[in-house]
Amino acid sequence: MLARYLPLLQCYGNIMGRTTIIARPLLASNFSTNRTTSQDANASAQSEGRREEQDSSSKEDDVKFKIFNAALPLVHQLGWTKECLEAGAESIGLSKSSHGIFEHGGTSFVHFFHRNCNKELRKIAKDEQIESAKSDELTKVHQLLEQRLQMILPYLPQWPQAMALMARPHSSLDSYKLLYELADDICFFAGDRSLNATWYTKRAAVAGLYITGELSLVQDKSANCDESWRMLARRIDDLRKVEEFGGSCSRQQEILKDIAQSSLTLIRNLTGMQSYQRNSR
Amino acid sequence: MASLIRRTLLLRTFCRAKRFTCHSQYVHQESAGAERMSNSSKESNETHFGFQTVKESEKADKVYEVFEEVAQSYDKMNDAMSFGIHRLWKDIFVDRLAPSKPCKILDVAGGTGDIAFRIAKYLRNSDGGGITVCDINQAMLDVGRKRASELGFSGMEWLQGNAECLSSIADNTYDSYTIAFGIRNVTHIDKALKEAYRVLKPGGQFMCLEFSQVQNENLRWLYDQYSFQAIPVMGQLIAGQWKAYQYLVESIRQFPNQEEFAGMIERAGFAFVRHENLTFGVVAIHCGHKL
Repeated sequence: MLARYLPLLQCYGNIMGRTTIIARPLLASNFSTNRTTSQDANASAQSEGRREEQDSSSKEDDVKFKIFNAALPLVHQLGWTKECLEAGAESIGLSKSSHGIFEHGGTSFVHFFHRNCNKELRKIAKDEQIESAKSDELTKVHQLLEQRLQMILPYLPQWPQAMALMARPHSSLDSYKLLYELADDICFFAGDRSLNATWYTKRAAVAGLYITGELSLVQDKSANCDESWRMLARRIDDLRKVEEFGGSCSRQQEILKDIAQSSLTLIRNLTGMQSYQRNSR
Repeated sequence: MASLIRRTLLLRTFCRAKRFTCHSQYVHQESAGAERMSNSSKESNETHFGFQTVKESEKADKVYEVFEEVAQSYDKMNDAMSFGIHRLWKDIFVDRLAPSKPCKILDVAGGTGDIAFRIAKYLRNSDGGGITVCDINQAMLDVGRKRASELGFSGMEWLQGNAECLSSIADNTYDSYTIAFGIRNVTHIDKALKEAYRVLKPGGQFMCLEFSQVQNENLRWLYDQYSFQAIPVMGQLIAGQWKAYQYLVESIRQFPNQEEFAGMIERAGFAFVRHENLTFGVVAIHCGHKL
């Protein structure tokens, strides 16, 4: 994941003429399966293509996708279960045993659904060219989050079952991976190119927002889930305020530093300690 | 007097076992695979039968003899050799298969019906309907049929046939094809896999439970010692069959390892091929789908 930002990193180093402490995205190196810790330019091209490779399909993926698409409308009657996959397979003329393609039954079904939604989100972000839009980062994050959350709306009555399946210890590692990928995609397409600790905080915030949104939707009784969308907008506003406050804090910090330095010089002058330096010159 | 005779017999059997330990180390150094053996002796149409080389035409008969001899005490010996763990392996196998009614399942080389009964139990309230057990050996089928009637599975079919040539079964008939601890006894594994592909419906699942290679080297050494020292002895003491169980442990070493076998399954035309190790690789479940 770091290698996506590697060209920027190198530019920054050259321009500023000094080394910068770069917070390496440790989470990224844990999750990326194709990469080692080497940071070649080749590796950067590879990892950029990693998510896009998943988007291209093979014959096997086509069949899996067909079964998935055939099973989705049946989720309302049969839930996120192996039986739903069997019914989907039968409806397209394959044997019931095709459910084995989804190795862990209902859990694999939900996992595939999430991956598919993430893929669609990436496609929407590219098609609508959100990255190059004029609005600020947080607005884009809001927009992408809403679109992603809307993808689960058709299956809302059965969504608690899906959430339970992904929360099991057996599938929790996969869930974290999916959530990380989603947060990373949203931040990337919103235009985040940070190279310090804010890389982590932003993704954690987006992941937290997604989960809050999901939980809110599941128990929302208002018309068109308006309460949840309003809640999401309020959270984005909160984040905006935190960002402004943080920015003003750092300005305050510089002023405070200047004040502290000059008072120290004053005290040294007054107590005569400064004179030592003067005499030594 | 009787104890003296027993002790001499045991001493003789242990001496025999020692010879085969050396042979097994040789086999591992050679990393023998079924294909390689048959490739090298293709001109003379020979294949392996354990560590012996026999004509291909004879192997099926020899395997038949082995299982005819052991049929009666097959289940008892399975329990003794694996300390009952084979039951867990088979339970996990059926759990992975996850069948549901109504479906047609073919259990090949399933002589005494272990897998078939487990599948019937998994499908609750089933009388075994939709399950066909196929075996080359009539003696094994007879044992299985008797057990089925005791357990009340009247709907099961018992079919005698060769896994390499299931001529009595039409194309695209079955939803699932299972073969547990049987495929290594087949002379031409690729033919058996092609037949499996033929009889399955599109989307059908091929599942194979078989002894495979232990990944960890130290554990592999332990496993070899146990296989060559203890199992033939147990076979002699419990079932009165030394050679049959010697053939068993030798045939395990001749069978391709997990990745090679997965490659063979893919070459037969299956997709979504995957495998899972159980008990550190002592057995492996291979799975594939016909698309």
